[in-house]
Amino acid sequence: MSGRSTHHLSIEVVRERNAARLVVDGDLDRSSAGELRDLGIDLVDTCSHVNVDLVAASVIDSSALGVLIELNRAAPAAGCGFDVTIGPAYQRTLFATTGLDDYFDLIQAP
Amino acid sequence: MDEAANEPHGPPILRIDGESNGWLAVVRDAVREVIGAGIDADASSAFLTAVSEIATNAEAAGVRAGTSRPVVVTVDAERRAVEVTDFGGGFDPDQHRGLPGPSVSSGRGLHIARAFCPELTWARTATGMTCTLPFPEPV
Repeated sequence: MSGRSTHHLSIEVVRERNAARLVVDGDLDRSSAGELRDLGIDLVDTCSHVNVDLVAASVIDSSALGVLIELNRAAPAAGCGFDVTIGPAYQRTLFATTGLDDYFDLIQAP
Repeated sequence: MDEAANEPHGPPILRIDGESNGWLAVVRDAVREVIGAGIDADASSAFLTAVSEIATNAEAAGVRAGTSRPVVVTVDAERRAVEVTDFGGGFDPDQHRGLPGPSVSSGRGLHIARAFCPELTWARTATGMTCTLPFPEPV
């Protein structure tokens, strides 16, 4: 077994006027969550609204939740709206079991 | 990274020493290879998240204890389980069952692991802990 994981994280930034969407694809863990933090902090400082789209995230660990919490705290201070889009059942379970389903403004993808 | 497959037709047992960047991804890829058909994407993601949490926690335990020995992860296709062994001196998992407040950014790892793999078990070793996570059952 060698080479890059087929579930390597990629994050696409989609800008729409003064809003931005961070579309996550792949595994979001301790070693990759920093990329989401760096992109997210820059965007909440410069946008009126930021959405993190997790629908295609195959793993979301507690480090990634920690980054989302940091962004959710930073956004209001910067005058930025912030929400998170989730999809598969395991993602709903993740947010519910950690009690974060009420903390975040969650959007359930169709 | 030390990986050892001990069968000519694929690795029923794969040992991974967590000591380099990206080792968690290697662990997850190994699990994905052997977890088998019949496991849907949701169950797979949940189990992989549990394994990641336990492995991350094991690595942190070693760092706290100041050991130079890396975490050892064994992906056992025959037993259909993942074992994560650390050398962090051991701890009482029952003392880590609470959840932090929603605005606290850390401290949820073991809770998530238990939620996604309720059958996981812990055993003390002479130098740390071994956590065993049985694969999810095929649908």
